Amino acid sequence: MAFAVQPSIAAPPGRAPRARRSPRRTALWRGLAGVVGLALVLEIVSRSGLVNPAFLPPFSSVLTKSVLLWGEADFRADVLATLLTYLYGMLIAAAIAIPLGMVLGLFGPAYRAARAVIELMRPIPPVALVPLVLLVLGAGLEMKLVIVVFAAVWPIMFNTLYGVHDVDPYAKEMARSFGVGRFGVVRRVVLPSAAPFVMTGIRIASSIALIVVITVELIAGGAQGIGAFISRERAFSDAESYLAVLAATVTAGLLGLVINLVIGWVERRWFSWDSTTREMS
Amino acid sequence: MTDTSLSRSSAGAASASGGPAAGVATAAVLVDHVSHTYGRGDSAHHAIRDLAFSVQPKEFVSIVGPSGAGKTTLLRTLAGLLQPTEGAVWVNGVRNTGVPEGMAMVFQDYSRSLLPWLSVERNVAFPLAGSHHVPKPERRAIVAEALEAVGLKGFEKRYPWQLSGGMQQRVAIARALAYRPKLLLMDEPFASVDAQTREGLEDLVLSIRDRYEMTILFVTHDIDESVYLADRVLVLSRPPATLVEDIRVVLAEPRDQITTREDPEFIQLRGHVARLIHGSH
Repeated sequence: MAFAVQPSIAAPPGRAPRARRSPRRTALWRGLAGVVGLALVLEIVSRSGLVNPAFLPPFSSVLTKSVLLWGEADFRADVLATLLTYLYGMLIAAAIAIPLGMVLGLFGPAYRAARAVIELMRPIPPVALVPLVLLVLGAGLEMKLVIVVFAAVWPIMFNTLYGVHDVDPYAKEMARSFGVGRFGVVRRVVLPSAAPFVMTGIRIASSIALIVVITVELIAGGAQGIGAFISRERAFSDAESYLAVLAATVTAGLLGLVINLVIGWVERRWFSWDSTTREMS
Repeated sequence: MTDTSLSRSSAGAASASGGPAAGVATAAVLVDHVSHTYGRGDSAHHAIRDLAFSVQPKEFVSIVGPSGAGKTTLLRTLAGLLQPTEGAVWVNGVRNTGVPEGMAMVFQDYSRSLLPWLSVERNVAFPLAGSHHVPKPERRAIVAEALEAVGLKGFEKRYPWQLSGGMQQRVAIARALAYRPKLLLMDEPFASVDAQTREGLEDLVLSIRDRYEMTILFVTHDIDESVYLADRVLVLSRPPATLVEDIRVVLAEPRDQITTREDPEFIQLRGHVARLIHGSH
């Protein structure tokens, strides 16, 4: 039987098509233009004397100060403390939330049993736990971790659960048709298929976690971190300390930005096969 | 031209003795008075009723019927993905209690049956990756051979979503071939590709059937396709599906997209099948 198979429709082999660079670059330039524009407006507003320059120092001074702060060992220690709390918190949250989400996603009865408890706990604002946890654990790292983990667990867990539910039954059936067992289907189909959802959960939890870490540092006296730094500086109530407060705030923002970029990179690197991830980047 | 008595009597003999009688044990597939009903009571849907036929090794059997005729139900029953409510299916002399040995299935929706996070190569290796019977170097050779058989050499590192629909379905066929099945079930595999791609894929199936010496059961709603490919065409009725006629197809070999379709015998057969399906004798 003669047959001619012409792989004619798709591009020739050997060169995987890659998203063109230019749209992303354009987006980057536009974003940068926005930041520069805002900085200019702030600078002008401050220098023109429209507002009290003690409360809103020129943007250039804030930027300079945030660079200068890195020269201070205390500030570096605070940034490190915030970053470590964030990282540990995310790790612990993921270690709890991913297996939990898998179990709840795979076993309907488990989900129905846990649902009431989850719905009761989820609306609790993490920061509302601060006084209680402060009493039990003091103002150290453990206290901060408990709050951060509590905040970060939900988005990861729910996204994992959705990811597990979202797995195409067709793909599972395909695996079964090749004699793959129940456990094999979970490992080889359900887990990889849910992975981009888990990553989305991590992305959402990540921004929440950073906010919560800094908030807790701000309100729970005695703690270390960027929030604690802001809280200490604010107490001096002079122009120099306001500048430090703003500079630390900008640093916190930059930290968040860097974390987001890293997560975005991981998503593009590992989950570009996922159509939703592909459309986002 | 028609040959209902033979297969019906062989299936009947099996059920009479309560098991696969001598001779029938050599059948690649024996469908022993199978019925399947979805749901219960008033909402019950009788998909297939009292189907009985057998397929000899290396036979190519098409199954046609009006849409919604329970063709997919029948195939899922043969694949062991569905336990029929009545009757039994025997594959290579073994009664189906789960997914039978040596059976592979090609699903209709290739975009869902291929795993998007695996490269073409790894998708094809999927049925082998879980088994410890096939050592790794051998696995690679099997995958290469299967990809070569479907004309996708050079596309190993691509991802399914980078390929056209016809190419994706060829990946799915290669995956089934890599499993080295004795029985290949195909569920409307070319329903969602364009006409030209379809002809190429039809000839591809005929060529791999010769090369791999498989029994093929091919479900389709395309009358021409059913006749063009098969040694026998089983025509099913509207649900609850019963066997309307078991038609032997004798056409010049090898089949050819142009000359076979011009053959008066082909034209007469396709007309006969069409009349059976539209219920107008």
